Amino acid sequence: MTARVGVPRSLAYYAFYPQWKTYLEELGTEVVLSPPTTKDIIDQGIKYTVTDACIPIKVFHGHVAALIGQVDYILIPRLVSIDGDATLCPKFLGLSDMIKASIQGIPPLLTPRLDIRDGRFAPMKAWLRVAKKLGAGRQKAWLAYRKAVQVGQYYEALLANHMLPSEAMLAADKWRASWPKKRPLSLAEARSGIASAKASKTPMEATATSRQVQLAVVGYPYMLYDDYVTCGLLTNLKSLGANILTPEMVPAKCRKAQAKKQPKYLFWHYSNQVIRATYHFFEEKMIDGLIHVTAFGCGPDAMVDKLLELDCRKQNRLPYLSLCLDEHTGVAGVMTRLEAFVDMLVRRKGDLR
Amino acid sequence: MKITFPHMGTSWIGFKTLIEGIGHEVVLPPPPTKRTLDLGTKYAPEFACLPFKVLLGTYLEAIELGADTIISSGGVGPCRAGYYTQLQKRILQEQLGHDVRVITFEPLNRNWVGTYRIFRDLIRVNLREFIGLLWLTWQKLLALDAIERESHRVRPLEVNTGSTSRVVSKAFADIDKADSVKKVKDVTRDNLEKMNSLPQDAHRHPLKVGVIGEIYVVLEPFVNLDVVETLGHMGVYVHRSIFLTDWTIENTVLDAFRVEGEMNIKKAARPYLPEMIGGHGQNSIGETILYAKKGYDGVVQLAPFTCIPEIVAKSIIPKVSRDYNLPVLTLMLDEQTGKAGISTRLEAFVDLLAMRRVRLGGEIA
Repeated sequence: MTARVGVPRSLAYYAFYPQWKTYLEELGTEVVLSPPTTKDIIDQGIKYTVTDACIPIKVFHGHVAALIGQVDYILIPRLVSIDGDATLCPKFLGLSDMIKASIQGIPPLLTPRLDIRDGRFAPMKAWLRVAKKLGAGRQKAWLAYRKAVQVGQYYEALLANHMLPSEAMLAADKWRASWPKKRPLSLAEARSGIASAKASKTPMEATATSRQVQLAVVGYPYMLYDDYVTCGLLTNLKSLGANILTPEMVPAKCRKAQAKKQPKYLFWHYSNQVIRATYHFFEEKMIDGLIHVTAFGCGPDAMVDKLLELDCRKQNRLPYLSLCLDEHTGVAGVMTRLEAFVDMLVRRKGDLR
Repeated sequence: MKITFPHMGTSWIGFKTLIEGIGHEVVLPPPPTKRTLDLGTKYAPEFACLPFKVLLGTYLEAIELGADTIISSGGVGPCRAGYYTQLQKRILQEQLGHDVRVITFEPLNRNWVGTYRIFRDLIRVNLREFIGLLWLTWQKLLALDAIERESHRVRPLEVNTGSTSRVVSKAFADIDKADSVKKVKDVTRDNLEKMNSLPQDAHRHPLKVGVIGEIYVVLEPFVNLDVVETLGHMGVYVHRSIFLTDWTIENTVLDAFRVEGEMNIKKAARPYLPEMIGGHGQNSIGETILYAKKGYDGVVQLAPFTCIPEIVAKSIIPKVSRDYNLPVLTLMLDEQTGKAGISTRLEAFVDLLAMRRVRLGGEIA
């Protein structure tokens, strides 16, 4: 019987799922993904976490709970450092330990420790140990890892080409299905057959065309792309007439180029990405307004939010909306604020002309 | 230059000596009050932790008193404290338009050159005098910690409530006034003797409680609403897990030579949290386990609201508490926390501990 490995649909899922899925499936295991976030999942998460935890952590606990009984292992990598100059939020560092301490009766966890600062091959070694635990041979594991890395890079490229994670994941799967063909699918090939991607030229363009504003929506991927937590923020903004840019749509190279503008790097990988992407938008004069999506009580965002506010002030007082979400956020309240903000941007744009 | 610095517990006595000694005027950071916190809360990000708000408020009050330079420490994360001064500098300069210089000491081993430049810039005395001053400052800090440590032992035994605290505040004033290492040692010895000769009730067997958590809220009595003293007056022997001098040796001095400090604590925490998560998260878990092994009756965890490492610790501590059968009370502190609320919770906790000890066959008085 093949082992079933569960992956919670939250946090690092949005950045790494295609890579993890490729790796695990190539090893011959079955990957089970938790269902999309629902009220039930959040309620479960709240039950297992301390009150002070932020909503993404609560959601994550809910997703882990949803996997209990369906899988033999749960994959919760300990993401320490991805890029070498910053770690992730301390809650990522202690994630598997929190899960172990709070949820009873969970299947064994797979927690490879991914820290690029330990050397270029450290992540690979960590993944090879996972393969050993799952009983796969060394050579098979190595080939699987190589493939996974390629899929991961392809996925990132798709995101940078303005695809949403959900669509890009489908496209990555499609490429993998046609694997012996080494050449990655072109963007058009990747898009064909994905309904939502077909609808408009790029999926993040406004669906209302009477009036249009350029809007950057920045925040961590696990907040931005979780439609339930954000109350359908991106879709709603598109219907209000906004063309949306997110940090993932800025190629990694361009983000890295902005690093020199930070007098001191932030300590958290995703926070750096948010700040750098925003600086890129500023430099290219791409946006009429900025929305920062943050979670109630998010530690790193207390710093990021203020930095963005001060930076927007420097950019000729660029309109800035900080949207703080928690488990009690309702769609009506969010919509009212978005409508007011977009209306204001439209009017301001008219005035500036 | 008129220099100010963060107010953290009693450490100002030491830092004042050092900065005055190297030839600058000191604007003493006013002890935090309600107004400090209000000022800080007004300009700080909503979800910044309490120390950020108190420090920002302290700086604003010191600027009102004429300070033109702020000295503080940096860090490498992932705890937010290392980024405080970066953001506070921007808030003070860009948002509020204060013409103030902010000097940040980054950890030594990553920044020998920068640290040397700061010192070269600041110091107006020769090297010999400077080393003498450092030694005097260090002795003062050691003396302050010795007095506090002893007060934690004596306070639960005192017959006249408040007598220990009176000696302590006199001792602090004496140490502040002392201008040589010899005098520091003399006044410390005298005051320790005085404290020991206070009328004490030797028949009491006070409950033993460890206080763990984030360094600033543990060290600054205004922020933790005098938890240590309140517990002392309830007749509880308090062991504070953090003292500034110990922390400096374990983290700043050893770190400068790339030696990892606090190994025993980290080792104890490993089964529950093998990763260094910044701040005092891992310490909180390790110390809880060490207290359990030393036979303490309970542990109080202090943390500022939204403190990331302490939230991780708080999530894991219930399991530690179950495994080691040790009650732990977590107090999350923010600008809304009131003293009466904290006292009530502490009283209830101490009552529970007392009943538990009797049930387990121990005695208290």
